[in-house]
Amino acid sequence: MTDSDEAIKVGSRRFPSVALHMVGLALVFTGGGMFLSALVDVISGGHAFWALVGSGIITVGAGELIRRSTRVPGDLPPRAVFAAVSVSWIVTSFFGVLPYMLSGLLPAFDGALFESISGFTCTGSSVFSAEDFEVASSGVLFWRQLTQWFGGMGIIVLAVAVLPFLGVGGLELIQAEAPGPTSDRLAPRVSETARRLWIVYLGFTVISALALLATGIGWFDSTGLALALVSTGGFAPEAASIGAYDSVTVEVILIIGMVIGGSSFTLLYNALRGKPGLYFRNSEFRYYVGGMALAVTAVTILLAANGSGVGESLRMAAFNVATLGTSTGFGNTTGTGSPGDFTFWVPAAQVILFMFMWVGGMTGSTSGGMKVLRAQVMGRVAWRELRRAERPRAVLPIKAGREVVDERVVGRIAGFVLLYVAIVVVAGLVLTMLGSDLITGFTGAVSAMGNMGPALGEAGPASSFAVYSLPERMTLAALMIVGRLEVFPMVLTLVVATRWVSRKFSVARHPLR
Amino acid sequence: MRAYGRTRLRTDSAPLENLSTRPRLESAELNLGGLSIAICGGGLLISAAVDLTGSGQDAPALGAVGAAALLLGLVIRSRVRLPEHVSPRTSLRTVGVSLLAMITVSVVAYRATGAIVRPGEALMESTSGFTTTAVTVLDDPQRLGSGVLFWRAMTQWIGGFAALATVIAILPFLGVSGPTASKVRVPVRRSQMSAPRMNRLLGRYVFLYLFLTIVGVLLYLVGGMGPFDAITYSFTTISTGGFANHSGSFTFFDSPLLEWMGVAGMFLGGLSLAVVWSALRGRTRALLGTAELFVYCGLIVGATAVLAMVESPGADFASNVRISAFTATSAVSSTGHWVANWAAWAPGPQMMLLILIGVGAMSGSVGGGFRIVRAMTLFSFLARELDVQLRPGLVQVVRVGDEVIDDRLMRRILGYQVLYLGTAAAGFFALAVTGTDLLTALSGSVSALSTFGPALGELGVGQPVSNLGRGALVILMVLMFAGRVELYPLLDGIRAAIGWPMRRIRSWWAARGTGLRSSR
Repeated sequence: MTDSDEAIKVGSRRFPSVALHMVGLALVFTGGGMFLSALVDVISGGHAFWALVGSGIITVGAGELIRRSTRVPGDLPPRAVFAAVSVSWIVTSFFGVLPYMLSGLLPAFDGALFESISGFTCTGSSVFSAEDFEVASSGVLFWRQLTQWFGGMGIIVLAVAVLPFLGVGGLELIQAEAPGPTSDRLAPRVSETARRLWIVYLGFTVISALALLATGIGWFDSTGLALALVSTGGFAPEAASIGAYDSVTVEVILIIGMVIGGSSFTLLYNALRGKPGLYFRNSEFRYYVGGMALAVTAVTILLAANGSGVGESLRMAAFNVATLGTSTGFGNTTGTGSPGDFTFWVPAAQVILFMFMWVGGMTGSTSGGMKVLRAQVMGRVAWRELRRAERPRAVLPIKAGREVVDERVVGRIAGFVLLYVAIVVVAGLVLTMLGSDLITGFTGAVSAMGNMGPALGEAGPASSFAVYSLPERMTLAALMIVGRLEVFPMVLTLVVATRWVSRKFSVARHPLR
Repeated sequence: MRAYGRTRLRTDSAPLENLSTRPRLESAELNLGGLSIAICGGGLLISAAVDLTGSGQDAPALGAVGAAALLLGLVIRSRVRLPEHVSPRTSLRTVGVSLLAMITVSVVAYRATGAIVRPGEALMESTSGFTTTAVTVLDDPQRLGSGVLFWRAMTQWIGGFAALATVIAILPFLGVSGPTASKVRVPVRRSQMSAPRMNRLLGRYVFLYLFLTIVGVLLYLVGGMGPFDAITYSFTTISTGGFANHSGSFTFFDSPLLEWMGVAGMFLGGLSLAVVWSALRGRTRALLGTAELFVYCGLIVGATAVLAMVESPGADFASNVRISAFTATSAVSSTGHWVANWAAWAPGPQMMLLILIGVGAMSGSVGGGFRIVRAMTLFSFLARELDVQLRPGLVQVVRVGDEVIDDRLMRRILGYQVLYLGTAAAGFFALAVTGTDLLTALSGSVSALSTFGPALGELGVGQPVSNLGRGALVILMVLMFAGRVELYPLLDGIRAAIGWPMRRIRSWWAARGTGLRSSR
């Protein structure tokens, strides 16, 4: 990027808009991903080379055009940051439909858009049918996996990592995009932090891919799975998801990968630098792993008590708790009603999975959901309220681990959780009003908001999201983006936009003022 | 530190020199528990008298249990003194103990009359009654004698009053759910209310509650009910209870006028008594300043409109509106009377009703649920947080209506919200463990916690609850109890029950190897 100096030159004739500039950058990167998919298509003998190259040219062209005609303005108010993140994600998702549509796999725009959004937000809900997987060219399938990989760490984090001139407001942009209430700095410079995050991410992907390759599932599947694994995405290159391999080894590797993917990347970075002990010194990690271990035990007992073998119960419980506890969303079903199809489990086990759909993984990870730290803090808030019975006048600080959490941060977390719950409930109401039954609609909303993938009811791991009607799917897709960006950017962009419109509107109404 | 504080408190409240001059035991739990038993005894005696006007077959049993309860209650009260100062924890325990005592008396009464023989079912009916929930084990209440029916309605009426007393007793705990008119007046910094103020409030509440009950009776008499039905239905409506003398609830009467009367009665039941007080005294400005009142009415009207348009439960426009209004009012006020089986409706209206049931009625009312004012406070808080995100460093207060919510109060409401959601989630899980399907478990948990009653799936209206297993019934009872006493007494009891052995284990662990253990 030789023109970085030009971008900040005073008096530049470029349009000052961080939102548009980010859109341009994001499109250039995703377009690059399309070219990569085209390469994969050629190597594996697919038939969608030209479709992918065409998509890439359109996307990169549009991105470059937008990027070159805009610049990052000198100051970045919060609303500009939120708008930049929201708009770039939406626009990227729209361009992400090109490979599906141009290759003729998903000719309908809505289906392609759902798939694209589900991919970029790392949700993993799919409208693909079993036949789609058969006729799909490998390049398009690779693109599908790659969208998750891009979305996992975040396109803007990538942009900040590669383009150091974004140092202005870079931290704000990362914080607005990255999951979790706090994002640790790994280095004094923001761009260095972003770069290290991406290096860790890349390294983690390569290691997972190699581990999966060793199980003998082929280079294409292992690469594809690794891309969806480290991003806790949940798409799989096979129609039956992980059930297609029906292999304990693959599942164990995936469980380990998912648990790491759902934990903080700061911890992973430190572990790679020789300090793995930090994992267990982190209270959030202890809750995260402890909660899952407890749930696996409970689900195993519930399943075994209802007639499955203990070994199989443990396998199903561990895989499915891990897949929902990290918001990945792989399924290890071998068909509707098979042991891995948790919509056929006893209700109590389903409720346990449902709770995990709310919480998701750790802060600073690629996972979705409300995050363990927030649940931890809210639990403390409730506990404090109960303790007042004993000590009505005590001033009790909220702690996470050994650190006292500032009341303003507690307030922000409480606000987040409230907004999250409110949006899920309203979305559940919308979905049921549109006609899905209560359990499918409500759990579907929870699942989409938490970027999980499968839900309960009719939208289980063995069925596709085609069970939802078109308006329902669009609602879910909107929820996915809202959830992936951690609610605030989208909601605040909407709030600002509404205020702007209402201001215009009121002026139009009272021309004399 | 902890041990020191406790000892000091104990010597403060019961100085040694006082022990010799006041021989009687001092306990708020026992004293007020005795009072509750005595009130139930009185209620049973009235029921016996009512029974005499009918068949009179249950009168001896009702009278005997009533007299025994009255006597027992009075004896306890004469032996146990009410302490001058009550710690918050004690008042929580008092609330729990009193409710349990009343439930016990009622179980004995049901069994003595032979109306409900199985102890589990008698317990369910009593718990449901005193918690003003409309879950019944009787598939045909009409087979009961008039005395027992009267008592059944009375359990809800007493339960409603107990709920009001609860609100006053543990007011400092409730944050904004106390008696509010336009103002959210809560003594945040004080841990308890002065006794005279408490008595004055209680007296006012008794008056208002009686007044509303009489209004209810008149409404039903005008609507065409007989005197017996009018009184019992008024009991179960004004208390937002929902028990009916007939298996078909309001469908039995098949009278549009009566259904509208029911709507009016339930609306009154879900009103804050402070609002009623302002209305009676003609304080229009205070009424208009009550933001919660507007939301309460808005929820009912809005839900009625949506139900009438989306579900269209009736045959024509008038019946559409009537059935929708009845169902919406029943849900928002957490009553549980019904004129249509909403378990058979479309999922959207069901979801909406579940949300309304969860939110519940106005604060300071007999109704249950999370309470509207708390939900409003949370929304206001959320708006503030969004503004702070846009303008970091912004200092702005949280408002409900005209009232500023103190930050400390706000934190407590946030805590309460988590406790409420957590209890509902725990109930959902526990019901699922007993083997009910997801829909029944989810809706049953929300409904029982809001002391509404009917739910979806196996808990739909008109389905005898005894179809569910024993475990499910126990969990429903716990949820109803938790919802009626505003969570705190139950959760604090659980915390104390877990905390005591935990402390013992911890002290044992700390003392291990130091030689202190052997000396104890």
